[in-house]
Amino acid sequence: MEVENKQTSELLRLIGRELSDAESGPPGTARQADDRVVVVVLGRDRIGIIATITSVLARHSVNILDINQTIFGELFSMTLIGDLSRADVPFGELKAELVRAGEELGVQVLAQKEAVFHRMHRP
Amino acid sequence: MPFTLQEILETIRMVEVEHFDIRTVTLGISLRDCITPDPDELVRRVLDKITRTAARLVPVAREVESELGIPIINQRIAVTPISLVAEAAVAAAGPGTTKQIQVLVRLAEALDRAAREVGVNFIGGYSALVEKGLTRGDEVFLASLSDALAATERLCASVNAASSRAGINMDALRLLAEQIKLTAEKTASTDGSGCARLVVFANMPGDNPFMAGAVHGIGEPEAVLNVGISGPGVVLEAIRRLGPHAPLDQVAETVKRTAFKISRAGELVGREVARRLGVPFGILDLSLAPTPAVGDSVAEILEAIGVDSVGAPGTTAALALLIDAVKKGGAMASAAIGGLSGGFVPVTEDRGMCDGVEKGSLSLEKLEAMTAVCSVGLDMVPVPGDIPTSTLVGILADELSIGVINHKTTAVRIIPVPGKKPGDSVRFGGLLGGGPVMRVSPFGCEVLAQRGGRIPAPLTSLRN
Repeated sequence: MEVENKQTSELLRLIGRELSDAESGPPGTARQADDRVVVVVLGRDRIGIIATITSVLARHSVNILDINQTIFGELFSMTLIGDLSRADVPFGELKAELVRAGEELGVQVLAQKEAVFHRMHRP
Repeated sequence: MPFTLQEILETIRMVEVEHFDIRTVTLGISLRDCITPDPDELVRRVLDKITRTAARLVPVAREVESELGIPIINQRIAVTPISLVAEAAVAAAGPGTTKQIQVLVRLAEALDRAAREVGVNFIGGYSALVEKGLTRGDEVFLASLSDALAATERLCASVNAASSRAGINMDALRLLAEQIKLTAEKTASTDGSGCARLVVFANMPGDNPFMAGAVHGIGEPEAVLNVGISGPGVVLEAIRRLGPHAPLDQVAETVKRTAFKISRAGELVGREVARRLGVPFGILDLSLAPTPAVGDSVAEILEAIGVDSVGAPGTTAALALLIDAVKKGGAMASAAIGGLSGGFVPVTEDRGMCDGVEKGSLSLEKLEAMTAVCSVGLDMVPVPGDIPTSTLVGILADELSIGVINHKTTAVRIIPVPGKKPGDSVRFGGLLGGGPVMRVSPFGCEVLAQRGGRIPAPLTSLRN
């Protein structure tokens, strides 16, 4: 999508179109979900969790599409959606690297393709 | 964020904590083009076709498992019923049953070898369809069962001996009861575990992905991928979260919603494996299939619904509610629901069922009543090895008649454990588990069993 030098109204129209495209169709056609990863980080809060996890993603050309962080007392939780279309490693390797980074931080990292969440929660 | 944190955590909890998994991706392969009267050529063709078609099954399943983050526990193969594939070769080897049985056992060993070569833990389809009568080939095939099972480790056998359209073939049941006893004797060193790979069916489906009853049915395509998904743990936790005071319609609704979610995820996995293998996706079978693991038990679900111990009064009602809600959730989630779709109540594979037998709440008779409202029947039931053959015929006929009259699938997988008495314990290991030997009624049915013949098909009108 061409977004340079667009008016607000034009940008809103483009986003609207993307949003309706993203709604799930028949099985196997959730076109965008196939290429996205949901990363969940859970654990004790400390400095540098987001920096570490996102730098792993950046190193492998995974663009962050959405990110959400909440602290419950001392419990840190982050969910993130990344675009895998330009990733330079297979998903399994990326996942292993994220889990390793989590282990070093002492937090749990889970990574799963977005398609699973789409199918379960967006019928 | 397109999903709430709660939704994301729910999915992760299902997989990480509550044992949600794809129990099996089963590749069905037609062997009809392998048929030839030459036994050497038959073995060569069958080996070649299976190892070629299924070569990538295990690596592809591993790949999808890692990407989607949902465990795929087993990869399996189902083939065209072997009695049909081998019939020409068996006929050409005759006359003389011993020589003919040798042809079949060689083929059984080839199937076992094919399974080992492609890395699947079970291959189903050592099967025959004899609900109406026996061809000469079928007779030899049934006689080969105990030798074939004793000579193999991964081969699964199944026989359709009854249907709602044909009735019950009592002559076949007599032969099958003899073979069940012989199989137990020939595999006595492992507590008769060969019988865990032999199922006798009424109304056998041709697209069931679950072992030991999987076959590649006659109306199926060249190759097809069927998926069996499970998740007793997920349903159990959902019901536990409701607490003891939620009315039963709310329990049913919760089970239905849970079944819907796991079916949706399961279909995604199945379709992806099928796409990468380049074969059509067949069906999705959502069946609550327990494993010996704690928290992965159907009996525990029934206890969470509200019976003190499985088998207590109320058990059949709770099971009926559970299975119906699972079917409804599955059917709404996917147009591809098929196979058995319901729930299994195997004894040795379910910790809670074993506890029920040990505590005395669950008898063989109550188990039979439970199977009237669920798939798939008397499953993984160890009984004393000295059970009379005629009593086995009676147990088979009773269970199949439930299926025939109610137009549903029922089956029997029973293990007469050599040298064991009621209350002794057996151990098959792995997914097959282990547990206590069940008590069988001391009253027999010798006269009924020796009559033979066929119990006619039931009336389909006047259904009251």
